Amino acid sequence: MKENNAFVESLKKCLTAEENAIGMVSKFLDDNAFLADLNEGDRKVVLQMLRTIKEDSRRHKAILQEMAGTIQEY
Amino acid sequence: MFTKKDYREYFEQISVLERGMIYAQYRLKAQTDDTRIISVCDTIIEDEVKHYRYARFILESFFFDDADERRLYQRRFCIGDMTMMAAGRDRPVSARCIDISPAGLGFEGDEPLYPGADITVSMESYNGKVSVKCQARIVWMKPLTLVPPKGEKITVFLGGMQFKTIQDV
Repeated sequence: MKENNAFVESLKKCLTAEENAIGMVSKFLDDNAFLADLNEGDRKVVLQMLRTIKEDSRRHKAILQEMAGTIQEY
Repeated sequence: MFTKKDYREYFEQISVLERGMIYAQYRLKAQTDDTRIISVCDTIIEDEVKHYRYARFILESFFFDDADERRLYQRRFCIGDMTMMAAGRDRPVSARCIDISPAGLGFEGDEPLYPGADITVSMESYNGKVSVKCQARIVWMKPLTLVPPKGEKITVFLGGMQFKTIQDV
C-alpha cells in the first residue's frame, strides 16, 4: 500500500458516496406518484434502471466494507 | 405531483453522485499498488459508468426538451481532472471534465467561474486517451445542490466552455 491513511480516507469517501446513491435512488422508488405521467413501458424501464443502480450500489458498499475491514486488520 | 423540473433536478443529482463515485474510485485506485484492489476498483468503475449512462439516458429520453441540448457538435462522455486559469486570478481552479467535443467541454467543480471568463484549460482524461490544453471561454455555469438522505449537503458547479480553436479530441 502506498499510503495507508490516504487510502483509508479515500475508501471512506467511496463508502459515503455509495450510501448517498442508495439513499437518493431509494427516495422515490415506492412512491406511486413518481413517474406516474410516463407510459407504463417507459416507467418500467426507468424503475428497472434505478433498481439496478440501487442493487449494484449495495453490492459495492458490501465490497468496500469488506475491503475496509481487511485494511484495518493490517 | 412531480413536475418535469423536479425530475430533471432529481436525475441531475443522481448523475452528479454517479460521476462523484467514478472520480472517487479512480482516486482510490491511484492510492494502491495492490492488483486485486485495482481490479475491484475497475469493476466498480464500470458499474458507475453504466449507472451514469442510465441517468443521462433517462434525462435525455424523457425529461430534456430538444432545444435544451442542441449543439453543433455532439459531446461524448469523458471523465478526467482539469484545471482552469482565468485572467486576473492568482491561482488555478480545479474541476472535473464530464463530456467533450472538438468545440468545447462540460465540467463540474467546487467553485464557480463566471460566464464570459477567458481561461486557459488543461485536462487529462482518467483513461489517458484524451488530453487538452488550450484557450477557452466559459459559456454557462450553474450551481446544483444535493441533499443526500443520509449525507451532508453537497454543492457542485456545473459548467460548459467553448474552445477558442477546434481541438483534436
